[in-house]
Amino acid sequence: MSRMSAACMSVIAVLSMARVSRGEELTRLSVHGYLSQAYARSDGHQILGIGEDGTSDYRDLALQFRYQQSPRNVLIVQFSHERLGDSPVAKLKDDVEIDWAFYQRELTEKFSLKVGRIPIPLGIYNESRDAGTTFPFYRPATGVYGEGQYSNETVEGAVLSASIPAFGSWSFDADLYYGEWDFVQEDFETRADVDDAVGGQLWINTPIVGLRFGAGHYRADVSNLLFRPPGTVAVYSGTHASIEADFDRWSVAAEALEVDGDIGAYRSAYVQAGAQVHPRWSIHARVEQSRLYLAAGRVVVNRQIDRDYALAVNYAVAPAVVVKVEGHSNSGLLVEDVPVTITDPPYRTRYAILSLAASF
Amino acid sequence: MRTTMAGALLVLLAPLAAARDVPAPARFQLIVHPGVKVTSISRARLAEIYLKTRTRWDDGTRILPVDQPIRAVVRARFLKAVYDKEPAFMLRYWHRKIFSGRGVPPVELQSDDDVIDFVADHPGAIGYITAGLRPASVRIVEMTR
Repeated sequence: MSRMSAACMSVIAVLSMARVSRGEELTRLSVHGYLSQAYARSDGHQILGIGEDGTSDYRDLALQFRYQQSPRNVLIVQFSHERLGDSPVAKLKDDVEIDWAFYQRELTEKFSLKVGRIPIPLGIYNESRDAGTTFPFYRPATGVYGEGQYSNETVEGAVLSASIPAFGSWSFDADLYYGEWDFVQEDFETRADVDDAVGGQLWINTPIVGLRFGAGHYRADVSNLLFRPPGTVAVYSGTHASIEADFDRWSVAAEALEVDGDIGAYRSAYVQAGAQVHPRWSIHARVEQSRLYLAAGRVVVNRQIDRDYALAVNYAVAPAVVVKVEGHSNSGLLVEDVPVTITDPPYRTRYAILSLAASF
Repeated sequence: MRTTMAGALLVLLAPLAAARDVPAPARFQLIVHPGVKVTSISRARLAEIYLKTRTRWDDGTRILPVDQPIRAVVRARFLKAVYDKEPAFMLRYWHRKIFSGRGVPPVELQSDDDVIDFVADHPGAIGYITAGLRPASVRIVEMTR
């Protein structure tokens, strides 16, 4: 645990010792959780921890404790347990981890400040990306949100949030953040350090409930990168744009992300659409594509590294319990069972996931 | 696997020709704590209150909204009248809020009687109950367009 996390936990511990009666504690404490349990299988190569032999060691669960210390002060801790089948990332994960832990202070009715380990405000899904009842596939698009390598869900630092009414029924939700994180690189061992990250995101909420537009940007100093001389600090920046139309009978989401680094750029985008064809049944489709541009010395690479077509059927057993069946057809360099180089032709893999998602 | 997936889809989609649920008419009534000095609440303001984007009454008192169970008919009617949304939509909205650490939904109680008792006991509270009830311990207010 980093110094930031330790400091955060200390603050939470001290604030939690405020004098309240047992009855008050019970009404101030709320507990929520979710579970996604899956069986997944591919038709050949291993991808995202899913191999030809199939795996049921594929789940995501979390337990969240929220303590309303006073009307303006909240403490939140979420513990998680995640299994990714045979993915090399799995060996880096503890059985139970602190997903996030932060203290939130409501500064005014429109502004709040969070300090600690906080979900990064990035796109439609990042902050709730593992809660399976909030989206139709087992996971959000991996090209934009990542899974395992080169991705992190939280920032250790501070997030300032604002919800601001605009003209008519339009409104804005804005977040500014500062802090640090790290991420696993392509060798599945070395972690790069991200420091002095500064970023922001703005959502424009339209008068049509469910329709919103968003965009965000960050820049950060990244060190301990593979294939760079020791001591190298590279400046990375990321920009994303989102549109979401989430209505009763149908939904559309589209997002694009670009990350620029010292030796190249990464671009990914997806479009996802769904229809509620019956109160309990819905069908969804998603197309995503990612490209990598590298320029290191005389070596220049500009190629597609991932394309995924997915189709899912969801059945709502109960309002907060959903069964999902999904099939993916993938073409790219995400396979994990063979050594992959950037010049390889795309590996074609099809895989299916059957999952049960529940939350409370 | 393509053939298997197509077969599975056909099986899963077969029952979809069944008739959809027809939304029930909007029949509920709003109640507030006797100390809340309002006689009517606009639909837009009510929407903000139950999304917790408006948290205080005009006199500064903190608003304490209270909800009915997810399967309650009166809740479906309330959501349809205020947001023109199904309960599943609002559940998804709140799950996103909860699991991003951005907030929790209004307190959920199990019956009209529980809602009436809660609203009567908590300054700033607001709730909705089945139309036609006339509880003496709370004030009934109108929802306006």
